[in-house]
Amino acid sequence: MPSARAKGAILSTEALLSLLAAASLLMLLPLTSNPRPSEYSRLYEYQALQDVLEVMAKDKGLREASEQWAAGAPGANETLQRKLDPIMAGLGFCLRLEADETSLNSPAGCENSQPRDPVSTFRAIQLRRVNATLWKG
Amino acid sequence: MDSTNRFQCSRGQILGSDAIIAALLILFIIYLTFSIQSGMYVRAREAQERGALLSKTISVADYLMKDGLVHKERSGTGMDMAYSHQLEKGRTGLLGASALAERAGLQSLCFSLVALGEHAPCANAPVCIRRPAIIYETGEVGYLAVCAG
Repeated sequence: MPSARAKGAILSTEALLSLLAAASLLMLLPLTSNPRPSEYSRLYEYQALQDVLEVMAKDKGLREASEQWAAGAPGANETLQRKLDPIMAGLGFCLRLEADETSLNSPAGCENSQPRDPVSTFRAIQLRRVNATLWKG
Repeated sequence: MDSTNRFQCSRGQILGSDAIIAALLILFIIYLTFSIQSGMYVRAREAQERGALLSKTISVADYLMKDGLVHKERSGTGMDMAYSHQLEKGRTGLLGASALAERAGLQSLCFSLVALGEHAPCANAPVCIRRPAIIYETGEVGYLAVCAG
């Protein structure tokens, strides 16, 4: 018979059942609050990242700026940033490009934001590996 | 006062006070569980509908990027060469948005090539996606904006 007065028992059966019920209710809450992004959102993010890199390779001004940036030319960071910022601001995503010893965040406001569920790929620019990461800003 | 006596009914009472409180709590927990579950169901259905709409919009945008609006040139061998990510503004009028919407199973669809800083014409649609591309006529970087409902 369940009783709080049973010898050696710390919690009664009723209290344990109540705790289990409360714990199960608390476990339901995270399911309702944080929906995961759908697979289609991820697909769109991958496409946006590929599009940006493709446009960087095909637009003359962006291609030259990214080649100079990858080669570590002085002032190339600012030039590439100036060209990429309006594109990324319009897209609503943050982009990080990382080469050997240099990195760039675009648009400028993304410098302090931590990537959440980012998508990544890499490209070879001027025979250097450039890692590109995109996430929702 | 002995607490175990509170489960016992006093004269003329069907349930003791503790039993009534326990029953109310159980009813409240049942109500809470059902309301959470129904909320989850509604949210899941909305997410599913939005996912379906997004997938169709992505498909339409992909078609426009790869075939519909892409700049093509006839090569020396007589084959059409497509230049990926170079889109022709002039072709937007040739493609009927309503016919494309019908084929994709969308209620409404609009798409346009917009320059940087410009607003898409129907950006208040439930789902809008933007894909960066080069506008062939101007040679400038812009977006293909596709909005669907």
